[in-house]
Amino acid sequence: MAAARLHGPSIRRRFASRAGVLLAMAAAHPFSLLVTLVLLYAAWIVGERIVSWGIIHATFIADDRSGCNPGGACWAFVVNRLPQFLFGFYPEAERWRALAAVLAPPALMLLAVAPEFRGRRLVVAAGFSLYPLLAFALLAGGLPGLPAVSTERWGGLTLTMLVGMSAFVLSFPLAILLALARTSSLPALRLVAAGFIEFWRGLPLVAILFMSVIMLPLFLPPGVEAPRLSLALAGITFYSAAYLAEVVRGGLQGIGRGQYEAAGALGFGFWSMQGYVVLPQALRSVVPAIVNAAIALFKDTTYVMVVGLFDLLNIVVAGLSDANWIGLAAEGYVFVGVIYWTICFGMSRMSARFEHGAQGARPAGAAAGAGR
Amino acid sequence: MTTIKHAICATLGLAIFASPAVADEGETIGAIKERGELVCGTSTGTAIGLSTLDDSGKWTGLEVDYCRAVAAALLGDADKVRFVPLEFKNAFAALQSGSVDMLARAATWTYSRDTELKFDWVGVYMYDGQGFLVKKGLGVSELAELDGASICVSAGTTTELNLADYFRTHNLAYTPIVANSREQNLANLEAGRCDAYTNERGGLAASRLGLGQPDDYMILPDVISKEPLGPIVRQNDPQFRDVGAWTLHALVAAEEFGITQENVAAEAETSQNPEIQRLLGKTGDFGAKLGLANDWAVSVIAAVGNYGEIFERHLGEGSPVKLDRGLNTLWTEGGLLYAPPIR
Amino acid sequence: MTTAAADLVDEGERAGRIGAPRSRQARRRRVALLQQLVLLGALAAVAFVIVRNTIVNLQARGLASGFDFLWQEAGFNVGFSLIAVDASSSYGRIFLVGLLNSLLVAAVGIVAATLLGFVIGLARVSPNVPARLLSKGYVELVRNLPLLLHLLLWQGVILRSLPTVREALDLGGVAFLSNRGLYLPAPAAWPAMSLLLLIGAVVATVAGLLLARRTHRRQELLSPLTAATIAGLVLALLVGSAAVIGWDVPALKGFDYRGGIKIMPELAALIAALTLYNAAFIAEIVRAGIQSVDEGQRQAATALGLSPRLIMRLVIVPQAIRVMVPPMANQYAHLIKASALATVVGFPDLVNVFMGTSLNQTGRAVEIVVMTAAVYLTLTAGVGLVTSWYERRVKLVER
Repeated sequence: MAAARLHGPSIRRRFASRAGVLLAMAAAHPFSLLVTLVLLYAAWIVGERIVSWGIIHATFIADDRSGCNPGGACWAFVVNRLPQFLFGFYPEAERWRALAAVLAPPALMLLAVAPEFRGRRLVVAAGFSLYPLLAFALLAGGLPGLPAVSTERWGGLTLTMLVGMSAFVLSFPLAILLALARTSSLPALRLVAAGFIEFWRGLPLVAILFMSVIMLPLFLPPGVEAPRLSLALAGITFYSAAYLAEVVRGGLQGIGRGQYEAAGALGFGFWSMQGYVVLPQALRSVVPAIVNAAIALFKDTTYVMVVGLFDLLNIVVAGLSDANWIGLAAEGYVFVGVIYWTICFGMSRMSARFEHGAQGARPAGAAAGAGR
Repeated sequence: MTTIKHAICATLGLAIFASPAVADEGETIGAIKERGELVCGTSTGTAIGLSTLDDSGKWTGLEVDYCRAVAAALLGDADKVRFVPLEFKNAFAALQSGSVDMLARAATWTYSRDTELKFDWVGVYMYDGQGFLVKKGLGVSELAELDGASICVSAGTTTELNLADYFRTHNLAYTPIVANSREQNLANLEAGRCDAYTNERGGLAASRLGLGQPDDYMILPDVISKEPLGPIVRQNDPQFRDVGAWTLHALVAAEEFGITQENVAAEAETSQNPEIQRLLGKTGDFGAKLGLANDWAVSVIAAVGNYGEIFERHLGEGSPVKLDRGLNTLWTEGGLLYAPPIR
Repeated sequence: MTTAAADLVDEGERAGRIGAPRSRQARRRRVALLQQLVLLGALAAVAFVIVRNTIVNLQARGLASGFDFLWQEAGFNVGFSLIAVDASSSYGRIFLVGLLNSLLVAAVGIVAATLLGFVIGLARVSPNVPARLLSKGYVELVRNLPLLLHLLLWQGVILRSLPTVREALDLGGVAFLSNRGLYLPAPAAWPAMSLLLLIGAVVATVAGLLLARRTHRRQELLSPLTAATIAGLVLALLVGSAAVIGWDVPALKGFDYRGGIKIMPELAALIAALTLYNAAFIAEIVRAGIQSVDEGQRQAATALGLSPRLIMRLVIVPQAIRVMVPPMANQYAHLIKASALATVVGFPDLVNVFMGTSLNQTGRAVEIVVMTAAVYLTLTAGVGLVTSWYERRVKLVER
């Protein structure tokens, strides 16, 4: 997969901000004007309906469906079930732990784009790399002061965050190793890495999840057990590692031969050459593609529904069949949609900020890696 | 602590390299005792009366209570059980792979499942038959009138196979609308995506309650199959099978003897009936013969009550389902519940 | 892997015959060889442990193995199939049904998503400001939501907002739309006759295109005149055949419409979700491809007096395509894999009927998972092969 490197004109032209330009353009082309008017009218109609349904005629507090205004959205469904949507079946007294696991990733991301201060990079790097371990330990408990909570009780946004972040963080080192192996001079290493990557990239995530939950226990030594969540996470991690490895490889291919030769001349060994010279440049050049992969992975966490885990989407879908709140699919889906959209859009904006920092703007759509 | 260890171990894939523990007799029981909890595969939490999951994450229902009873028998604590919600489509594979110890998931006992899948049904906790739920307004009063209809059915179930068999042998046409979950099936039925929803009649009676207007729907009188539903275990641990079977027998025997959740402690002390004394561990070493505590049946009945109490609580007149006990009554009252002698 | 290992052994022997290597290069080669052998050894060890564990586990559970189940009767029916299937069909046939259904979803999805993606992508770079804003809004809205959410949404919309079959929307008396599906008329001798029709239409289109290329010297891919000719030909063919063999128009009989073609709502929801979602990504690929063409090209073409439409068609798009092919291929591979989400809405694709229902009934987990994985790996590898072939071809043109 060639990382298409494009140097086209900047996407962000400042056309939209100026109404005068808009009018002038519209006036210059009568057909264009007509299209403009039709589109504006359609936008007005749709927008007016959304506001009327979602806000003006909506009900926010009610005990069940019958307490809701039939002409508008019944947000009371979401309000009443919010704790479950956020924390799954996590015990009420222990919810602060789930809350911490949910809030840590966005906090780290904000820190990652925050203005520079001493030790910021260290905190961000340590936070990200330790997240899976700390979050698992915090949620599972079993230590003094932290009662044990079975993984079956984890759910909602907590589970979504945990799976998304953990799979991403755990797959990252694996992806770097795979990318280095695939660009290695050793043919056996190349072959193995290519085989591994193409295998996981070639399978549907739905099938991978079935496989990891149904097949992995067969691969494990008899007597060794793993909770379904860990099995699913292992599958998603391999899947994500294969995609990320290709992104990293795209970055590695952009590193000139001179860099390797210079590092070699300075007496760097293989790992220090990679660690100090090659990888920092390679990774920086593919930050947008890495963020794209992270966004894709975050959306893909919804697939855990097929193996019966109650992530945010699944727990909302399960709530829809509650007899007290029947027929509120639109409200439930809008709620899930808003959360996903905010997080994914936020991440892509952040990547755009990185991009402006890096040299030259490049269109995000052609970034290495298909949109998933 | 073990949870963390397992989670981290498996997450990092290190488990693959862990040295294999040699599997021998009592593999399942050994695993359950080591981890300190029973893992029970159940429905996705919407099978009203059998296994439902409420907002606070609490499981209730007849199947759930059976799992609790087994946990009480094995571990002395009915709460030491973890429920794994499974779609029917994946349930057998989950049991085979060992990700659950036992399935209590409205699974019909059939010849081929028992033999080919290498499972054992430890008994039957519900004698049911397959029926059809239709909208009253459809104007259908018996099954034969459903010729050419679209019929909702759950994927991978015996009901799907029976449906195919019945319509084929009766020269009736139909279109199967196959969904993975009961919720999807009910949503399809309500929206008119299908004309009828077929399932075990007990399940249908319960499902009807989950509909917006339950009174607009009715169950057709026809019963097209025998659906003995029971808990399933893998064939590799005969002792675990026995524990499962005798837990079920104990629940039935308790009803026969009039032992209830309330009086079980007193009965264990004062009963003069030798069979009750053996069952409740007052005399003999019947618990040890199963590798259990001698008063295991007391823990079971104290935790969930006898079969009649469980049925009453979740499916009977005292519950919203209001299902007739039908065949699920004691043999002394013309039903099929019959526990072997405790001797 | 075995051939690579054999190569390595070969190389090792050769190195041995040459004698003790003195030079640094030879030593380095020996170290590299050793490293690879260690790697392969470690992999073999892991593979051995996994295989051994699997065998031990399968034996402990007493599970049968082998592919004989493919000839056994499956006993269940499938709601949608391109080939004849009923409850007495074998698991092998169920596999085929699932495979064809998956391929159908993927093929329709790819064509539809490409068309829609091109339209939206071109709107992204259009001079019309609202079109640009709207297409940007579409892309940002759609691609930041999970595909599974799109799918559930469409399933819900179709199920709840379309009328029941008794109140089906009448589309001109020949087609009907309800929440049980879209019913279309079909030639009475469907499918044999329709195949002939299809071939006729393809022949007519190709002939028309060839004609157009010759007469217009490649300036216009499809001039209005040729388009009208083709449309007329196809229409004449359709009407003519209808007059000869008659149409099978769906009609409400009993519980459902009978006759014609029925497109089930689960299939429609799946295709709608796959199309709309992937179109957003394809639009971005198209936009990036177009913007990758140097501004000088456009200016030069304008200077030559070409109209904006011709510039797009003759100058920009041909160059942009080369940039677009690799990401587009990735997107297609993704779409093929994502078709497995059919299992969520209950459309009988490969994963649903084979890896789901069949696996549950036969218990042949290993065999079924291997077969399913092989299918998807072949499909995605196929996309990769076609792409690299195309890339090589395009490169040749470039010189």
